[in-house]
Amino acid sequence: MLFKNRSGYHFLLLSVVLSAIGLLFIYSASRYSAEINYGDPFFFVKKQAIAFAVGIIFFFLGRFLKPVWLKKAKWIILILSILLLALVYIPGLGMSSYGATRWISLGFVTFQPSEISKFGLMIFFAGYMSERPPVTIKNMIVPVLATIGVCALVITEPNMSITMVVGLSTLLLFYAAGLPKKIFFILLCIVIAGGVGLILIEPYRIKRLTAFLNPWENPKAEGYQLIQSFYAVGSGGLFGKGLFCSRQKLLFLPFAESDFIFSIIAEETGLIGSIAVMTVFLILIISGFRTALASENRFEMLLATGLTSVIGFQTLINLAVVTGCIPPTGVPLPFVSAGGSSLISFLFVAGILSGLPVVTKKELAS
Amino acid sequence: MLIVLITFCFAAVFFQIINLQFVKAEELQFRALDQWTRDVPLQGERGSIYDSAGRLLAGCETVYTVYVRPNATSDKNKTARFLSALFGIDENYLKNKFLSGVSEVTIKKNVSKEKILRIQESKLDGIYFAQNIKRKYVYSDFLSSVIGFTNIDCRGQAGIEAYYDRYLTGKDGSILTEADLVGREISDSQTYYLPGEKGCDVYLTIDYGIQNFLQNAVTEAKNTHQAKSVSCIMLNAQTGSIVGLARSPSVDLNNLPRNDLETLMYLSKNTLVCDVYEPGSTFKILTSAIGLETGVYSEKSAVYCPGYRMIDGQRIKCWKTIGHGQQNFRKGVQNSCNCLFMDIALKVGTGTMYEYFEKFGVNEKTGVDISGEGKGLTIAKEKVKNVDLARMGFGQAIAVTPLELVTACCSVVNGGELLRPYIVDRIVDNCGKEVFKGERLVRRKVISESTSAQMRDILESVVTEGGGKNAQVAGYRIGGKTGTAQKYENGRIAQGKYVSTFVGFAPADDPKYIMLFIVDEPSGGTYYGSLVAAPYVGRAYAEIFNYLGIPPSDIEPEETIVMPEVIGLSPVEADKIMSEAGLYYEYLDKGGSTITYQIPAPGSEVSKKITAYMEG
Repeated sequence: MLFKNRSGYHFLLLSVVLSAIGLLFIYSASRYSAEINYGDPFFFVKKQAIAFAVGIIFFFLGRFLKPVWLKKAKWIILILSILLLALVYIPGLGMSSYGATRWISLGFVTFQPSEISKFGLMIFFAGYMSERPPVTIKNMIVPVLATIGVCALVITEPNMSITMVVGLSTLLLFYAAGLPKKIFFILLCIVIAGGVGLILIEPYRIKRLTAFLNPWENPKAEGYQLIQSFYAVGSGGLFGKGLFCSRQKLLFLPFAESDFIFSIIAEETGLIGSIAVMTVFLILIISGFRTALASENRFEMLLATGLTSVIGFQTLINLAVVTGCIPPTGVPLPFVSAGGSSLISFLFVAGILSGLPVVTKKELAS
Repeated sequence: MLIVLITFCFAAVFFQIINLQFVKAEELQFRALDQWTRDVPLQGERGSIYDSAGRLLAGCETVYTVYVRPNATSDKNKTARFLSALFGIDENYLKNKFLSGVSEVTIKKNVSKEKILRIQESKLDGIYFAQNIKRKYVYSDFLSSVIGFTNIDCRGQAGIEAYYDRYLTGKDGSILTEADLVGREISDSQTYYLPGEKGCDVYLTIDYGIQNFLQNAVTEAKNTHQAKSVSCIMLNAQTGSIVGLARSPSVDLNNLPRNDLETLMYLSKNTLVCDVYEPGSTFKILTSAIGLETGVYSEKSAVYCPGYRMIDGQRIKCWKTIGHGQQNFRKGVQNSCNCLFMDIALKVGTGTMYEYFEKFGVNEKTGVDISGEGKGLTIAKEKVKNVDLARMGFGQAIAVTPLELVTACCSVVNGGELLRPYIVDRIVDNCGKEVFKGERLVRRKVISESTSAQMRDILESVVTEGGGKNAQVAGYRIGGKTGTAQKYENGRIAQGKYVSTFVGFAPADDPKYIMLFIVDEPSGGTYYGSLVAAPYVGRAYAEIFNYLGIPPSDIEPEETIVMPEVIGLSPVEADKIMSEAGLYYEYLDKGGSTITYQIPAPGSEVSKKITAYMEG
C-alpha cells in the first residue's frame, strides 16, 4: 500500500503540483535570461527537472522512513545539522554569492545547508520535547540553545529570512508542546526584539528597510528589486498577461526564476493564478497541521507541526516579500523556486509528512 | 486557531495582491511602460516667430539623427561600409565603435530626409533615426539681435528665443519600441508612435517694412562713416511697442560663430537694451522738460551764454566757444546751448533733478520683454557736486541704456506718460488660441500734458531752425534733438571716440513714432550727431511714412542759397556770415584763430535746411 490514508495522497499530489508549477514558471521566467547568459533557454529548467526526479525518490524515502528512527537519531541529526552549517565557513567548501556565504560546493553540485538544517532542528526539537512532556524552563534549555546555535550560524551567513523561519517555527513548536500562553508571549517579544536588533546591527538591512518604506526614493539601487516586483505583480490584473508573456522577466526583475518567481506567476496569470497557487499552499499547510492534530503520539504531533511550520512560514515570508508586505529578503518559495537542494529537501519533508499515521474519527470512536 | 492565523496571513498577502493589481495597477503599469520600451525622441516642433503682420521670421525644418544599435545589427561590417559611404565617416572607426560593446552609437546629426530614405531603402537592420528640429531663420542676419538664437538642442539662448523659450518650445513626442533591460528589441515587439506638439507662435510688434528701412539706414550709416557700429530703435510713441530695432554689424543666425563666443556675443548682443552709454545732448530733452515742468524756466526765460560757465572755480565750456550770447529758453534748446542746461540743473537742484531722473526711469529697467536688460548709472545722490550736476544737465556724467533714453524722451513728447516698451504683440498656441497679449502699460505720469505740448513745439523748432535741420523731410513734421558724446574708456575720455546720436519723433504735433539713432565711433570727417545721425533719421521717416501711406503735406519749394566762404575768417566773423545767410552750423573749436575747414564747399548751391559745419 502506497499510503496508509488519504492525506498521504494529498501530500504527494500537492507537492507534485507545486513542483510542476515551479518547472513551468522557471522555464517562463528564465528562458530569456538563460538564453542570453548561458546560451540555453532550458538551463535552469534542466537543473530543476533533475532535482525534481531526485526529489521524488527522496519523497518516498521520507514516506517509508519510520518516525521512530528519526526520534532515536535526533542528536545525530542535530549535530549533523550544525556541522553542515559550519562547513559553509570552511574555505574551499563554502561558496559566496550576492554578499552571502550560504552555499557548499562539492564540485559537481552546490547546495544550501540551511535548507537541510532547518528541518534537522525541527526533528531534534520534536524528539527532545516529546520525551519531556512538561514544558518547564529546565526542559527548554537544550532546545533553546540548539535553536540559538542554528540561528547564529544561519544569521552570520548572513541569511535573515531562514533565521526568521527557524525562529518562528521553534516558537510555534513550544506553543504546540504546551508552553503556557504567558511565557509564549514573552518569548514572542524576545524573538521580535531580536529581529529588530538584527536589522539595526547591519547597515544594509537598514538600507533595505528604508528602501521598503519608500522604494521610489532610490529606484535604481536599494528600491530596485521591490519596484521591479511591484511592476510585475501590478501589471497582472485579473487574468494576467498570459503564460510566457511576462515583460519583467526580460532581465528587469532579478531572481525572477528563484526568490521572485511568484511575481512572474502573478504577472502572467494575474489574480486568478495567484489565488490558485496560494490555495494549493494553503491546503498543503492545513493538511500538515491536521496531520499534527490527528497524530498518534506526541513526537509525531510535534514533528508534523515543526515541519509544516517551516513550510508555512517560508511560504508566507516569500509571498509577503514579493508583494511588498515586508522588506525584501532572499527566501525561495517552497517547491516552486529554482534551486535543487531546496526542492529536494521540501519533497523529502513532504514525504515524511505523508507517511505519518493519523487517527481517523472512526478509529477514535472505537 | 492556528489555521485561522495562517489563513489570515494568506488573506493579508491576497489583499496586497489586489491592491497592486487593481488599485495601484495603473500607476505601476504607467511607470513600468517607461522601462519596457526604448524611447527614440521625436522633438516637438518649436513655435515660429513672426513680425506684427504675420511675416515668418523664424521657422523650423525637420532633420534626423542617425543611430546604430550594434546589438540589433546583424551584419556590422556591411552596416559600417554603407554608413561610411553615405556620410563620409571612416569605415574602420565605425566598425570599432560597433564592436566596442556600447549599446548605441550616434552616427550623424542634422541628416536630411533624403539620406534617411536611402538608409531605409538599404533595408539594413539596427539603424535608427531620431527626429530633430532645426531652427531656420528666413532672413539670416535680419533682426538678429532681437530674435536671438537657440542652442543645438533648440533651446533659446538669446533674444526672443531665450525670453520666450517657455512658449516657443514644443512638447517632445517619441517612438516607443518594446525592449529588454539593456535595450535589445524583443522579437515581435510593438512600436508606438506618440506625436510631439508644436510650441506657440510668437508675433513681434516689429513691422517688417519699418525694420527694413531701419536696417538699410544703419547699414548705410555704418559704411558711410566707417563706424564701429550703428544701431537704432523705433517705438510706437503711443503704446511703447517696439516697431523696429536694427543694428549693424549683425550676425547670420543660420550660420553662427558658435566656436567663437566672444565674436558671437559681440555680434548678437542687443546693445540698445543691454549696454549703457553717455547720452550727451539728447539728454537735454529731459533737462528742458524738467526745467519747464518744475516752473523754474519758461519758454521765454532769458539765458546769456558767454561760451562757458564758471562753476565752483571750474570753467565748463559751451560747445560754441565764442558763445551764443543773449537768447531765450526756446532758442537755447535750438542752439543746444550747454550754459542753458547747466543753469537748469543748478537751479532745479540735485534733489529735484534726481527725483525726475527716477520719474523718467533713467536708472531703472524699463521692463521690456528682452533678456539681459541693463539699467542706467548715476552718481550717488549724496556725492553729487555742483560740477557734476551741471554736466548732467547736458547729458554728461550720467549713463543710460539707449532704450531707457528713448522711453524717457517718448514720455516727454507723448503727453507725459512713461510707457513700458514691449516687443511681443501676441503669442498664439497651436490651436490658434491667444495665450499672451503684449499690452500698453503706463508706468507713471512724468510731466503734464501742457509741458509735453510745449516740448513738442520746441523740439520741432530744433529740427526746423536748430541743430536738427538735417532730419527734416519735406512735407512731414519732425521733432528731435541731436547728441554728440565723447566716449570714456577705463574712466577717461577716449580721444577721437564719439557717439553721435539723434532722437527724432514724428509727426511732431501728434507723435506716432519716436526713434533713437546711434552711430558709435564714426571715423573720418565729422562726428556731430547733426551731421552723422540726423540725416538717416529724416530719410527713414520719409520712407516709413511713404510705406504707411501717409501723404506729405504742404511741400514748399526749397529755398536755396549759395554757400558763403568762411575759411580764413575769425569765428566771430564767420558766425555773423552764417547767421545772415540763415544757415545753422556746427563748429569745432580746434583752438585756432581762423576757420580752416568748412562743409559744404564755398560757392555750391545748398538748401537752407541743412546744417553746415566748420572748424578752426
